[in-house]
Amino acid sequence: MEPVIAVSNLDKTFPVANEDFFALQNIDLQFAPGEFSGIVGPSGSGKTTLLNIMGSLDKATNGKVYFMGDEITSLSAKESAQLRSRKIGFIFQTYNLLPVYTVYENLELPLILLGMSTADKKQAIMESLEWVGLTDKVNSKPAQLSGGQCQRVAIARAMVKKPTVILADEPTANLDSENSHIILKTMKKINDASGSTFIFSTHDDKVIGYLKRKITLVDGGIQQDETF
Amino acid sequence: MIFKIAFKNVLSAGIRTWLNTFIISITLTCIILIQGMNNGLLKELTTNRIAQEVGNGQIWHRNYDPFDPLTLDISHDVISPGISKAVKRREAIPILMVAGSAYPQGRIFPAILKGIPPDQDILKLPFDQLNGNSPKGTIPAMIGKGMAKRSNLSQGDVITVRWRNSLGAFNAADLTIVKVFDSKVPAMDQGQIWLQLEKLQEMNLSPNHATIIISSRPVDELESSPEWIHQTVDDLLADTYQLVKNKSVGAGVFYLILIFLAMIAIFDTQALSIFKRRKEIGTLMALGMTNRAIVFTFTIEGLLYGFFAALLTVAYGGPLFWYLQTRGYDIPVSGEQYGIAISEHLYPDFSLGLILGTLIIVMLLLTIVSYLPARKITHLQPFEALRGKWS
Repeated sequence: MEPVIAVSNLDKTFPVANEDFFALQNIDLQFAPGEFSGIVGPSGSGKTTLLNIMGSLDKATNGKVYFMGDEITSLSAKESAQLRSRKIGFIFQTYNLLPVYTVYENLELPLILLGMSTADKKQAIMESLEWVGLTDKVNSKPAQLSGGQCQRVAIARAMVKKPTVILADEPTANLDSENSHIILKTMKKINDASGSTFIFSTHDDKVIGYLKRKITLVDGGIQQDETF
Repeated sequence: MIFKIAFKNVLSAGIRTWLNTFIISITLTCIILIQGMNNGLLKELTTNRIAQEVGNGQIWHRNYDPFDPLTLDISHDVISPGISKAVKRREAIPILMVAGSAYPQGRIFPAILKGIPPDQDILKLPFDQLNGNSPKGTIPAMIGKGMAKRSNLSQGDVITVRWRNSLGAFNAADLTIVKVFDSKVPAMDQGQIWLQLEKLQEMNLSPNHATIIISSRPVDELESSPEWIHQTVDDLLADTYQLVKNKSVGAGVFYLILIFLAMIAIFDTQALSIFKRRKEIGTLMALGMTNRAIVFTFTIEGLLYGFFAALLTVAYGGPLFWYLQTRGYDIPVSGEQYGIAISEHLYPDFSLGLILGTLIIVMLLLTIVSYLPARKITHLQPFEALRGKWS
């Protein structure tokens, strides 16, 4: 089966005091469709950087990244934006909901970028909100929601366009234990039902407990790759 | 979508939006108001002068110098046959000017005696009153209100005038003021005594002579000769245009200061907004919006301030402009005292072109100052924006 994302011999360096600091070094990874996997490791190990490169939010210094077989490391800014718009959903630690919009409008935004019709948008948004159990908050603004609810809206926003991959960067870092489990169960349920590939970046044990595959990153290199 | 995002963001900015809107609105109102008053002033000046002094151009005797009364003795001649025909067709009126002195109630002051055909209909002043009766032995004459005020004369008064005729002999006559007319054009009023043309020609022993010819048709259509110099409307109004132009330069500096302040406010708002919303910009990028679309969104946000300001200007400036244009406003001093053809009550001229032109210029400037801080986004990497950093 063709991997959804394949990373080949990837390096990422940052200039620090006139020298190149390797944030990622010699990374080779493949993610199969429908995986529920996580990149784990301590702070500064390069988890978020790897996630950003796989999500076309950042560029690798060396190596290649393939998305559904297509190389994405040399895409232009516009092509990268199109890839993110159509194929990738993001979930962030701080939710990153647009505060001036209602829940409905936050979910509508990615669909507008896809040029979807009003009726299709409405159907997709309500389906997504049903998955996360927030149909009653459709007209609320983020400021009127709890942290857990905001993260569920962020999940709904990530999946509303039915992406191939959902990249979640520390999705439970700002949540209490109860909300973390609600969020993780919701994502697992979506993963089972939709077949979307979930890739987490985390150091939270609660998240790690849900993963089917754990890739441990230490000092920019893969230390361990376990499948459960 | 971009408009919707921009609209929501601008509305959500609260007090900042309304302050910017108010500042731009004040700028727009002031520019339109001052420009409208200037246009009204120019219209008043040119309309008055064309109606009461300039006509559709003039022909001057080659020696005539309006700023040197001493040359009037040698500044008249027989009207050429071609111009005589235009006079007969009532397309031109000859005016003879003779330098003299007036002696009202034992006083003396210099005056220019001007002869004009009373039945003319080119200049919108009541010279037909010169056909009126006057006491026996006196000649009917008219003066303007300004002249009447300075010389303490009024309708019915008799005044002695003295002049030197074309043969160089001094002569005198008594005039009866049959009409004090109201003219806003100082050149028709100050120091002028108006008589019937034929009577003045007779007094000056210069039959068929004229100093200037005022035309009702474009002056270029009248016969030209080396003795007579054509003066177009633009030539004759050049000083008026210059006056308003000088005034406009002063107003222009005022506009620049106002626009500069308004644009600084918008630039500052945009720069602050972009700085504060880096994470939001990153989120939009992550959702798949291109950098260019995000720049466009921010530029539209800036333009929306202008749009709201235009609406606000129409809301409170519209009635103000309408009131001033229909009711006018009083100016504290008479323009006659400054030698300009202006009444004590002015009507500004707020044309659609002026209002739209001002809006377009301000909108263009707003686009530029909204774009300048936003263009930084084009170089922003999504992961940096999500972290709240600039590259």
